[in-house]
Amino acid sequence: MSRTYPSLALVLLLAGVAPAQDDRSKPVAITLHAPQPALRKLQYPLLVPVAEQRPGNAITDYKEANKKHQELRKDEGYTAYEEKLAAWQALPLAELPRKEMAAFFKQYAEVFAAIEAGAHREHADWEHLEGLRKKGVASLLGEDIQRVRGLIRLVALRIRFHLAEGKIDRALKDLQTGFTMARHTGESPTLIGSLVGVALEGIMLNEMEEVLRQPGVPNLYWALGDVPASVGTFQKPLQAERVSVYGSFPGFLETATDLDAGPITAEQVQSCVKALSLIQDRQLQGLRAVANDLQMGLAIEKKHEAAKKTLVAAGRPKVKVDAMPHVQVAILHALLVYDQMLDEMQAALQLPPGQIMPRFNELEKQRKSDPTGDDIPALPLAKLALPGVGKVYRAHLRNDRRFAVLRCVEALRLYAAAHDGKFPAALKDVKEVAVPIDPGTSKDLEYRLAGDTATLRLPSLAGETNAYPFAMSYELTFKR
Amino acid sequence: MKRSFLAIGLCLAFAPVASAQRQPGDPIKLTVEPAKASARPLKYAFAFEILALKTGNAADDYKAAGKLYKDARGSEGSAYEDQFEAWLNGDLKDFPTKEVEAFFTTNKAIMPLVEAGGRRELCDWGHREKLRKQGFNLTIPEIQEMRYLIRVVAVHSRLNLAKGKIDESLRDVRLGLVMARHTNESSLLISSLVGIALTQVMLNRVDEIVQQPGAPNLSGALSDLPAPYIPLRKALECERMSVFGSFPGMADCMEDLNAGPLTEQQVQDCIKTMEQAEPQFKQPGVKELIALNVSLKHDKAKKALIEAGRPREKVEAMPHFQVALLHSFLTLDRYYDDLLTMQNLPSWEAYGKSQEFARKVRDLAANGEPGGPALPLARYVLPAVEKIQRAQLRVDRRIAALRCVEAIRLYAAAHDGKLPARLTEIKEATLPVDPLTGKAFEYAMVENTAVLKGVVPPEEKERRNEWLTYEVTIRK
Repeated sequence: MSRTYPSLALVLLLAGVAPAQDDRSKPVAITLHAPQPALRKLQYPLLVPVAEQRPGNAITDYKEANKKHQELRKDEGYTAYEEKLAAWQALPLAELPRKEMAAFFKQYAEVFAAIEAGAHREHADWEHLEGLRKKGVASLLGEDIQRVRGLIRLVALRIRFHLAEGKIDRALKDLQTGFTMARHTGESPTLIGSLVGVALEGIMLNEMEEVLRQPGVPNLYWALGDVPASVGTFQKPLQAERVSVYGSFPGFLETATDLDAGPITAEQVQSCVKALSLIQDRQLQGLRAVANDLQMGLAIEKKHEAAKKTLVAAGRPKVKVDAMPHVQVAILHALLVYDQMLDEMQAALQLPPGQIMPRFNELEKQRKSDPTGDDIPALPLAKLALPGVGKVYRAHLRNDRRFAVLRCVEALRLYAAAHDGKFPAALKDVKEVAVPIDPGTSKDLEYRLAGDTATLRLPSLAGETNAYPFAMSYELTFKR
Repeated sequence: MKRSFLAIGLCLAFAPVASAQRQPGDPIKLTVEPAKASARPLKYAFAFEILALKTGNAADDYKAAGKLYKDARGSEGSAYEDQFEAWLNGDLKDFPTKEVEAFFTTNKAIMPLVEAGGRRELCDWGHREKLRKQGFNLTIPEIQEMRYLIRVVAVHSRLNLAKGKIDESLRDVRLGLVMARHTNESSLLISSLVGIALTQVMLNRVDEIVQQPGAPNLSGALSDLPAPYIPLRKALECERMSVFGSFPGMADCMEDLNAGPLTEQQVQDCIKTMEQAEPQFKQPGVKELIALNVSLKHDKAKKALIEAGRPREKVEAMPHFQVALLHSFLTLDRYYDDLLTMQNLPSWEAYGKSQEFARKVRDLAANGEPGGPALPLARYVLPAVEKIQRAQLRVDRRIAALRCVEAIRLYAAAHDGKLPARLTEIKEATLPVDPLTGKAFEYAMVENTAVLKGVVPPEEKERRNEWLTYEVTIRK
């Protein structure tokens, strides 16, 4: 699906932006220090707490931040800007040009102020649903969302700057802003928005690793456990897929949901044919030939009676169905199968965590198959328009697994601080707090102790290659 | 605190609504037909899907509908309510269809407004900002009105059922369940409790609907409901905020470590708030005792504030009472963090933690907090979380039990109308655990009846309201 694949590429690209350690195929090395005592469990929450939120829509502020950001970048010159930021991202903390960076942040103060205002809003509404309803997949999605990436990059840089300055509290505040902006981005009812949110969160998780390397950092075990699961945010964009597909066919948002609906107009029929071509041009390489000649028409004609029968069985009055143009009948028939498949995908999320991915894999096979038979719709919309949901789910799950593993790092830090700097022989020895399990497998995280080095490993899941970003490991030492 | 106490009262008042025929703790007896799953697992989903949503704020529609309801009720008061009670509780075969239809004809604008609310993208009651400013003094009559509106929806659902329109009746249940979640968006614990009560009203309807001949299987729809159905996390955060908001100037002061001294007027208003919070403070001599305590613990309190990151000069410039309040808030924050972090645990663990927490608070009330702050706010303002979490679990447990009932119907449809001898025999659906225990529900076949039971913990042996048993028989 054109909207999904570039997004996945984007996720992988963004997830790879790791200023602290570029090569993530190797274990991520973290030297931990004794935690700074905190006043309370949630003194450093990773999402802006309700008490600090203000009424308003976060997205308005992010758009404002983006506008200012673009203006300043333009003034500075895009190439110069990119080179400077790339260099700062790559440098170790100790080598950062802090004076120059301080001046830069001062220059971009208004951008940061707007980002922070956004992160402190009570809600985030991208107002994408109306676009989806009216234009469906043809609506220009993602344009504004993609630009948030530029903003999170600034936040990530400032976290590094604060760490270099030894200002842990300020780094943690920026981390909170970044995580909140990531979640706000994921509030978009689109899979692209959801994936961009995942990617932004991945960048913040990279920064979290850098934070955990610093001396004087309070223990973030509770804060990490207080962020709701990323997979829990997945249902909304999945549901909105239906809106985007229905919205692609003029008149179908109404006719598909109203069993008493009558025929669409001739003009709407023409627009629907155009929409089909658009979907095919974008997504259906294999069927383009079919779309471009009479075969689609023939297929619709051939299956018309069977399609009508199915619609009547689904509760539509026969007189209404008989009055519908062939294209409308064919699309409604195709949408019935599409709906069924999308429901199966949504229902898969009800399964216990360990069963979700296998179910998505099954559904993916089903989606890609080419069933035959009279009851199979002439237009294979389910195959063409449904996204590769498993991949998107996996991206969300990946972040949840990273949260879990970093929380486990913090549990180990608590243990080591209480046991003379030594790590436990096994995770079950940690009694200070509950050690999280791997949300991908519902089992304990893989843990090994060799000398003074503890290794935590996230293995790849079924169907994934055993390499980054599917598999990751952390090598931990403790500085006494 | 006022609202918290009220909340507990409400919580008890809304304990599972037993029908006229059934007393609290009695088994819920269902006679059902086997039913296969629909081709679309979410055909009868109990939430409006995004496709059906419209922009706008649901709270505005509900408020407008609430006003219409009040206008319709006029001065009839409890007689009017009794009428609804009768419509909801009588035997379905005696349902006064004509009379109820006449009500909906006369008051034809109410249901469309409520329906419009259910289909909104957003539900913002505007309570959070008010809480920041008004704290405990915030009144929320619109949430109370949701209790009336849900009964209108429930009666509408019964009307549809009495007319044999099962799909329409289920659509009303969906609306009611959405209203319950929307009510919880108010972000006050009392609203969460009302949300819980509204959910129970709708689950009563589900009990009735699944017994109708031809009732579709609701396994997919029930499994799709989020758990917990009424999350408490946001409400607990707001509860904390409302405590700070109740003391003039203190919400800002808590947010800003660089905050300076309160004005004299603000200090006086804060003292008034203390008195409002706990009438005991008004008793002769108590105020003086507290003043003495504040004075005695002032240095310790200042030290704690400075260690918490406040500049010494700012703390030094604060009136004693402000220092004592901030010190007290520091302690309170730790308690609230305990409450918040327990929301991330599996429900059965969270409930265990809430019981521990309740014991701690009871101990605090009885013995005070040795070495604690001069103003013992924690013991007065912390919510009775154990009771609230139990109410939350009551709903989740019932949803889980209903999922089991529907799984039994799926099994029966695939096995010639027979009931499973054990729950583990059911392969047609994933069975939920009992959210109270984290273990499977107890199940037994007693003659031709499947008995599904939630374990009764020892401390609940006498609390029949908490018992949950479904007895399922297959209609011949």
